[in-house]
Amino acid sequence: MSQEIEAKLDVLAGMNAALGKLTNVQIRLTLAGEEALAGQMDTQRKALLKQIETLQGQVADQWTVEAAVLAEDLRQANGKLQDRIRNIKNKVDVANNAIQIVGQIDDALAFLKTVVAA
Amino acid sequence: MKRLSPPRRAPALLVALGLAAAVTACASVAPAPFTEFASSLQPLRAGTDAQAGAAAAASRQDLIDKVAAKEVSPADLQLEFTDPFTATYGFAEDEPNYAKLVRFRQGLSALNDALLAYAQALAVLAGGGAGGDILPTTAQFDQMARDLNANAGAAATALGVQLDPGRQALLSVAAIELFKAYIESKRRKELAGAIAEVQPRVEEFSSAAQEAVRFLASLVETDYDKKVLPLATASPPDAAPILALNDVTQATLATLASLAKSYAAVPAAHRDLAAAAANRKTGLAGLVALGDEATRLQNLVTQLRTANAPAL
Repeated sequence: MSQEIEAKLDVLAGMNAALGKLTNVQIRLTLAGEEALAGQMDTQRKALLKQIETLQGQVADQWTVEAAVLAEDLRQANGKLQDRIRNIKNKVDVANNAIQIVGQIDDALAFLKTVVAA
Repeated sequence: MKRLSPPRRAPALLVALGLAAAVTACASVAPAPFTEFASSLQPLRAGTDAQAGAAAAASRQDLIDKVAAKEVSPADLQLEFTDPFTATYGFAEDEPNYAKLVRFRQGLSALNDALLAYAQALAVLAGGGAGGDILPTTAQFDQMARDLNANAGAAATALGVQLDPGRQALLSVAAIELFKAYIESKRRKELAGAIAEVQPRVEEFSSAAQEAVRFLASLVETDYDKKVLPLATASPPDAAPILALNDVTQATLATLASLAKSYAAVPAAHRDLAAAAANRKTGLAGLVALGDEATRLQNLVTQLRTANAPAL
């Protein structure tokens, strides 16, 4: 995945930390009866929340697009693996016809050569 | 195919075939690590889907709250149909995060499914599939030997040897043993090849999944700060709902941390499968060179020779 997503996650972590601090200050101001200051803080906090949510929406979209590409790569890898399985099954199926096993002896002897030569 | 000079090379060929049979015995793939790898991915898929589902549900509730607080217009929630089968939040200036998180959850699920399907196919190739091994059982191989024995002349011709009828049965058995060794080596090569080829993708998967989990954690933190403000400023003060929120949030973050750690471990586990397959591949390709298996091989070859001696 792209470094851009990593960078955005780092930014989000910082913004969330800031949001926590702003929230705590707003709670203390409200509890202290400083309604006007708490109101100012609430405006800033909501603005920060909006930025956080915008960035979170971007990350969700970007990650989903990039993950779809990776998922397709993995599906293709799975397809190749299925080919490998089919290839082996075919060899066994052919060998099950006992007469035709002799047709596979060429490959088998080539393999044997490597064993004996080792 | 190179034909061997009959018939004086026949005994040497049979010894070699015996060696191949010994290779088969030493080198069969142990499917357990592969099936364990596949099954270990199941809880990761379930865990992340549950967390992504919770995040989408929280975002949905947040949208409902915003509409109730008149921060978002209900007009923004009307779906727009641009294509015959596509509905979007196109009337909204900004698509709600809820819609994005629903897609995110689907993408995460699809990504997990893709790796899971690959891991299950790997287990099938290794012989640990739900339907049993893709290779024949010993009994089936024995039947093949019996069938081939009926055509021992063809086997002898294929192997380039000329044997009297008394030796043809042995040759049939040897041909099947050679085929077993060959097909097992083929499986090992296919496994090693697939694992090596897919390792970079598995590493990308691990990074992507860890990012997704980290993103989910960021949603949880934001959601916490949204919820804690009204609880902490409520009158009269009440710690219980705050502590309940804290408990849920901490438990969720601990789950996400565990998921991140699990995803981080996936590439090494996949590499372990490669290492196991590669070791055995070395054993198959150059069994004699393997010091730690030399004694065992020698015993198997000796046993095989002894078993075949009466027929020779």
